[in-house]
Amino acid sequence: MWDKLYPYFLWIENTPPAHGIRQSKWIFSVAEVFHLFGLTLLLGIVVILSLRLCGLALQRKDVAAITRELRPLSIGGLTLVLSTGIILFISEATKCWGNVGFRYKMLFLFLALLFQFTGLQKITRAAEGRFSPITRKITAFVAIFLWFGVAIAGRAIAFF
Amino acid sequence: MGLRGNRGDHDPVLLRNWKLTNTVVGFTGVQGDPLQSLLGIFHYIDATQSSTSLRESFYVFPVVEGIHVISLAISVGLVIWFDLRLVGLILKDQPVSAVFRPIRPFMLTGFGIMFATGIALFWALALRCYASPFFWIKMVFLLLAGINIGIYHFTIDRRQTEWDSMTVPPTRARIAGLVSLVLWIGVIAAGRLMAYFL
Repeated sequence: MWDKLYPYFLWIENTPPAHGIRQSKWIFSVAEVFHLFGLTLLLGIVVILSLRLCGLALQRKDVAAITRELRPLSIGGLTLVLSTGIILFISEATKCWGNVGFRYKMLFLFLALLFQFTGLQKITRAAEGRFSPITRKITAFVAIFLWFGVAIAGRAIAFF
Repeated sequence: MGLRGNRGDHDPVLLRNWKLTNTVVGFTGVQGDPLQSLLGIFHYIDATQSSTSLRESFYVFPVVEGIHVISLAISVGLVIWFDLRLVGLILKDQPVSAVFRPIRPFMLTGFGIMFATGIALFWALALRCYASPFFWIKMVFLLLAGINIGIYHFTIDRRQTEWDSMTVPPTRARIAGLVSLVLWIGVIAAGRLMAYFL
């Protein structure tokens, strides 16, 4: 299945924007910087929300209210990582195709996004007390596991 | 000045460091004396056995670097919330202390991991760090961030009980929060660029 995708990866790598990114000395490195800003913001939100779900921080404020207040920042963080991630990806698509770290990253990213907009969203938008503390803790751990999985697999891309 | 007769003749690592300092830094004298110059100290660190093994290790270096990058989530990733509360942008209905106190142990752990892994990475690449302008920019930002924390801690933070519940804290506290945000953004940017151009 993955083998059949190779021609598409090759095509992406040969598009004019991909050429442009490779030719510039700065675009790739600056995209990496903003990718890291996005990571800090996004994972920071995952950590603080997980702490709250585990009852370790901001207990006096409802989870739903915190989620609502942090939404612009989490959307900002997600937009930042995805847009800069695309810039990084298209410039070296075939390298990513052959990279085991990249495959795991995409798998974790898919699961993390799926969980973000299903399970996590359901729990964090619910009224206080609707879900048991243990359910909320498991949700927090799954979110941490999936998003840190994305980050760790992402870091591994550089070393394979 | 050539390398003839120097210790570096037979040691590939020392030889590489020689070339690096000669070309990048423009250093053309004898190897720096650790007691006389900063470069000498960096040279000394770079030539130690521990530095060499870390630099050339197949697994340890990437793992340490990975931990250093991903711990951003629990160091800077958490300090953001405190800074944004100080500036008066988020969680305004919560006292500043209610935002800060619970996250402090996690944040301090994050910064502890950051410093430990950061020192290890520096130890492995001391000479390349010396030659990188981004390394020095990062150090300046870190120093300023430390000074900012110190000033905040010994001045406005002393009277925190007076303004703990204010939706928008006093100007001096807001400035401290804003300066902290800007400096950490600078540290991340300089750190990432440093790794890219090493």
